[in-house]
Amino acid sequence: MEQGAGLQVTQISKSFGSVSVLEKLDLTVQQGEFISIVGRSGCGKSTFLRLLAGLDEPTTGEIQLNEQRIKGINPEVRVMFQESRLLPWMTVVENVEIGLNDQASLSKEEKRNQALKMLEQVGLKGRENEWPHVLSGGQKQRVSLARALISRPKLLLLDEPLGALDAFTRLEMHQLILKLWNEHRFTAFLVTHDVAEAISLADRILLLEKGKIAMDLPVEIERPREREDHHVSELETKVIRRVMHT
Amino acid sequence: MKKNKTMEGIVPWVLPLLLLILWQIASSSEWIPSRLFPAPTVIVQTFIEELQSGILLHHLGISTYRALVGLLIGGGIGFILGLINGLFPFAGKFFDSTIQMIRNVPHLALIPLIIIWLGIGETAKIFLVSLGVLFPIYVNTYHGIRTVDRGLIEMGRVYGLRSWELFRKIILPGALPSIFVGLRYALGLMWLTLIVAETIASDSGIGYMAMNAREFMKTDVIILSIIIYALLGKLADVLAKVIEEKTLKWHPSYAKQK
Ligand SMILES: Nc1ncnc2c1ncn2[C@@H]1O[C@H](COP(=O)(O)OP(=O)(O)OP(=O)(O)O)[C@@H](O)[C@H]1O
Ligand SMILES: [Mg+2]
Repeated sequence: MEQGAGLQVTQISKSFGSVSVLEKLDLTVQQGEFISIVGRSGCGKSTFLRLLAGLDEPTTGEIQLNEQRIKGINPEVRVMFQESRLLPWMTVVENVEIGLNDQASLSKEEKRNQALKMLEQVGLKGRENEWPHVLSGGQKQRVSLARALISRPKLLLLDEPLGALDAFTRLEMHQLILKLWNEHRFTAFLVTHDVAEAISLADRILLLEKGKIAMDLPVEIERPREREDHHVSELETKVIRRVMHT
Repeated sequence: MKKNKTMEGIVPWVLPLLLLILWQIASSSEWIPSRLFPAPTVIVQTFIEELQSGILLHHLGISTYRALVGLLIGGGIGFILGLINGLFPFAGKFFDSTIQMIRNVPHLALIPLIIIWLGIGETAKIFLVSLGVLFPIYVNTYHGIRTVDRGLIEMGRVYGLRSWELFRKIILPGALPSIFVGLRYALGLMWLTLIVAETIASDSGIGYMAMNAREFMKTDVIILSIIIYALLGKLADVLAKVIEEKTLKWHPSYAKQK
């Protein structure tokens, strides 16, 4: 089975004009790890993800993906944003096919078949010919997830993808993301404001503060992790205390 | 319930129909001078005569030709300028304020100049129509392209869409609703410009037909010309709307209720 990407972040800094957002940040991530990033609003979480995605370049320092320096956008890396960013003028299945855009070797039929399979995996079988605007927020994010994963990326970046969803839909999406992560084995980065969400999904929780990783906490609790489990709630309290402390 | 529906369908037509009947009676009984207000039946008769003599179709053909060629040239230039300025920020900076300045000149005010420069031939009229449709299409194309959701463009880049594909799959469809607004506005201006141009300076076309009829006091032909212009305007608008609905069927405001 194909493995997710290992990541090596060395001494990256990023500033916008005179504002320094990330300062000499170091991080090593194992293949297939599920990382959650928490931190206060404006601390640079999205900026960090954009660097990983190759959408922006670090001011100094470098990021290696499987020993290869990241230079610009990379087909092995996919991003899911808070808004689903589906193209309103394409049907659901056409939107998923966008994920295979850079696979020139595939024929039209192959792309369509893979897209249909992927839609089935995210629980949207039979909705392929609808316009995005008729879908609910959660369904749109499922399509967005299908689009991100259809090309079997090695690294999936999730920037608060569930932020706009209600609590029940979020729980469903957690299960779905975990299921796909188990099957595809990609490396995942999830930015979230919800500490409980970070704990229920991640192997490691990173706290981003003052441009650096201020805390790197492994989550050593068996999955599935129930909210009522006292390990989970203890960890949640600990993380929230730490975030609020400074 | 069903009866109600048919009633509702009829109601808006009652008043126009009554007015028409009133007009017919008033004119044919000479309550109003039929020389100035020919009866509807007379106009229909004129219509049939002009149609049979081939004169109407001749003028109609010429007017339609001018309208379409003008729309194609002016609309094409406006669209391309809008694309270039919208896609390349430098071009936008360089051209836009100049174009906006020229746009402030009412194009119909140029008629005397254009007659001197180009005479009253086809070129003059096509030029005027082109000028009339250019700006609404330009402005709305430019605006449409500049307001395409940045998030979608960034998404496209993540998925490896490059230049042409990015344009075809994201930028152009995103700008289309705005471009259609410009097109429908331009169609209105197209007929308006043509009416004025043909009425003032022409020796053919519907506008000329009306002007020519004035010399012989043939009010029926004048009214017929006006009605034809109205119908042409309506036809163009309906066509544009149909194309718009087909092209924008993904748009929530055009979604068919199932
Ligand atoms: N393109 C940019 N130009 C200038 N400043 C920027 C830019 N992008 C981000 N910043 C600044 O960098 C800082 C970090 O922004 P970022 O979006 O990464 O925060 P965040 O942690 O994702 O916040 P949130 O949790 O609210 O999403 C902010 O102060 C922001 O104003
Ligand atoms: Mg953010």
